[in-house]
Amino acid sequence: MDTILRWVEHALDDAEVAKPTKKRAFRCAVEVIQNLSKHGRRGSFSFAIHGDGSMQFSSVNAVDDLQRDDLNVALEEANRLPLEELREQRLKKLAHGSRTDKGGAGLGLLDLRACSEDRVYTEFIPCSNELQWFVLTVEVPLTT
Amino acid sequence: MNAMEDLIIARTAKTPEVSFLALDKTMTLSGRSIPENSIQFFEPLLAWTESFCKSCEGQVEVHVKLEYFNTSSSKCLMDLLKKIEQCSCAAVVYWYYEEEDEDMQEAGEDYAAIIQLPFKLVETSSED
Repeated sequence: MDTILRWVEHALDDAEVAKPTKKRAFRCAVEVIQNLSKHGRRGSFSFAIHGDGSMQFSSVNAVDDLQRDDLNVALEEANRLPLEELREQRLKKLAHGSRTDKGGAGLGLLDLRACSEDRVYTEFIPCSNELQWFVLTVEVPLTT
Repeated sequence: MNAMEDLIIARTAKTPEVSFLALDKTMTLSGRSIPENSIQFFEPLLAWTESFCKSCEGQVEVHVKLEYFNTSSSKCLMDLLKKIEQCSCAAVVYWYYEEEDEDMQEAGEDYAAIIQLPFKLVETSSED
């Protein structure tokens, strides 16, 4: 994980983006990678900087039916509110949310929506009878 | 009664430098806090704070100089500030953010809205 994060940092340095934007993109990368390492049994991570001035982080990991159902509940909750109400929701979770077994009280998806300006895309792709691939893609605008 | 020992932890690529000084009554976190297991990292900090807060007098200064933190660290930081909120001594939180870093500024404002302690948001130059 350390190596991947260093690559992300180098790519951001090379892209010569403003420091606050770099920090925001790096924060997104950390959440995507840690989501993968905490929830995935097998998986991969990739990132790219596009010509349109955005950076994309993608993770793919195998989840079973139970994990898929849990993820769907978390995604539904995270996507329930419009972007402008996210901060209030994050505040409530920070103040009163009980900690999940992953330690973050379900703040990760909310944070990804915020730091990507709502460019979070998810998909489940069947890969066997018991498993499906969970694809999480986050795009961060690098221009303001 | 033995004097309380300081808690000093060197920074790593994923965890902040910790400098909790009992005699100086200052608690400083600086650097990044993006460990995979934030609970494990913050556990000794919470234990030290609980012990310190039982008998502290006067005013303690809390300096938060974080460059990044992940969402699980944000919850642990909340737990730490809540412990300080319950201290027997008064506390002031100094929350540092780099100029133009609206995310870190907003994070400070969020903690200030929840924690019942005086918060001072300190803008720093990105060259600092």
